[in-house]
Amino acid sequence: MDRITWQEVLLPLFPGKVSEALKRVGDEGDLLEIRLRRGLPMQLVYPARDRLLYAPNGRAMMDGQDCEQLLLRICENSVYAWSDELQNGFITLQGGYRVGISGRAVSEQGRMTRFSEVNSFNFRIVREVRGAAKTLVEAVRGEDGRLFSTLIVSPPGLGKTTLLRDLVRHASYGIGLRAQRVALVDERFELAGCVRGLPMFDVGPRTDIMSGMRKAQAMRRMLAAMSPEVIATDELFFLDDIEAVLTAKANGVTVLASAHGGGYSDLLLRKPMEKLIRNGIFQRIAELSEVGRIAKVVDEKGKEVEFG
Amino acid sequence: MVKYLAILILFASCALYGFQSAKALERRAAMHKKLCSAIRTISNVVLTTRQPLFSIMQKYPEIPFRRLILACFEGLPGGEDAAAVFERAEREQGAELGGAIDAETRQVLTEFLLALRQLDGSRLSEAMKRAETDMEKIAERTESDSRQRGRIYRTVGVLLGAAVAILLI
Repeated sequence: MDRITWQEVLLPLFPGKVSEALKRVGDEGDLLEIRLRRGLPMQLVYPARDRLLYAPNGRAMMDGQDCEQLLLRICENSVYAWSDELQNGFITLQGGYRVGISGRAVSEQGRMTRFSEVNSFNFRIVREVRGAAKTLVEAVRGEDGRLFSTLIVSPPGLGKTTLLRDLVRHASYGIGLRAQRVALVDERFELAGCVRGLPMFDVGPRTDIMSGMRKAQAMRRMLAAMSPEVIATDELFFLDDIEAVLTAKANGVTVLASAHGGGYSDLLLRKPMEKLIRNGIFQRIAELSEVGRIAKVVDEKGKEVEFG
Repeated sequence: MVKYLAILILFASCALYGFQSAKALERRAAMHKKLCSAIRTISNVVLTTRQPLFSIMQKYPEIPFRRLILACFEGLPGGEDAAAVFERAEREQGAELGGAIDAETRQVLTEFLLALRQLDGSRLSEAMKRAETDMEKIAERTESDSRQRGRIYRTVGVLLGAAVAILLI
């Protein structure tokens, strides 16, 4: 599946001066975010640095009207069609690229209903890395070719989601593994990046996707409705998520997940994750040390496992 | 002989003029009915599926005046005023309309399309309902107008033609 590039998706949305500035700067493949703020310069975010770009004559890149027009273009000139996404604060675009939106919210009965002013946009350049899980597969494969329940751990921004997505792809296609039915719980549209029901990333032909629903609730629904062999979800955090994982395991389903943390030892000290670790729910825990680099893989007792 | 032929042609012309005027009223009434149908369908689909207007127009080709509505939707609110947007859209897409859109109808359509662009939730529902009601009122009026005045135009056309014929004879 050839992915549409961020230039094809985003440049037509931007005001002319923004597009021109981005074309001049170019992209060497490491651009992470494009941030546009009302009355301020454009900020380009890279892994270890960022860059501020002004409009000609040193002016701000975006004024109020630019922000309004940009929001309308993002929403395909139909704000109503994206009101749920706007309440969540982000919209997933074609290609799986996400735009976070902030501004002045209007609330009714304690619930945000719309923006009266939009002031900031954060366009995240998400890159799909096929083969990211290639070295990991052997370490997380059981004797029958099925996946072990696996947890991917690292501090933020090191590629947990990218690795998890590729592991799902491997399981769904049966690459290096026995092909399995996967239920993908994508609460924040980051794993599959569904737009109007279509996944923007390749998550495999045997994958059922539930997007935009709270993880715990979605996991229970998928267990009941989709008869999965594997359940995959990103960023376990709340107690409810942990309970849902335990329910899945009790039903004999393999769990693939990710979590923020320093590693196996760090998770043992953190509630509620320590409950999962102490109970040996995950037979494999993969720790990332740098962007896309797996430092080590341990088993449920914390003993290192060979991989790669 | 030539004289009677000319009288016949004059009579037919007057009668035809009367009938054509009545027909124009009927076309106008039909246009408003179709605009009602378009607004109603779009509103129902928006409320149930929440798809963007472009997607709706692609999926529902039976919506009347689809291209015209889209052309106006795209043009609003650009730099030019609504009247200019509608005039351009009518020039490019208006062959199917069967007549020009009057100022009142434009106003209703403009508010409807602007609501679709900018509103959501209960405010959008209210705006769509308002547009539906307003367009229905216009459609009822033009329908009634077409019936009453159409009859008059047809009758006057025939009578005028007869009067001219009698005078000349």
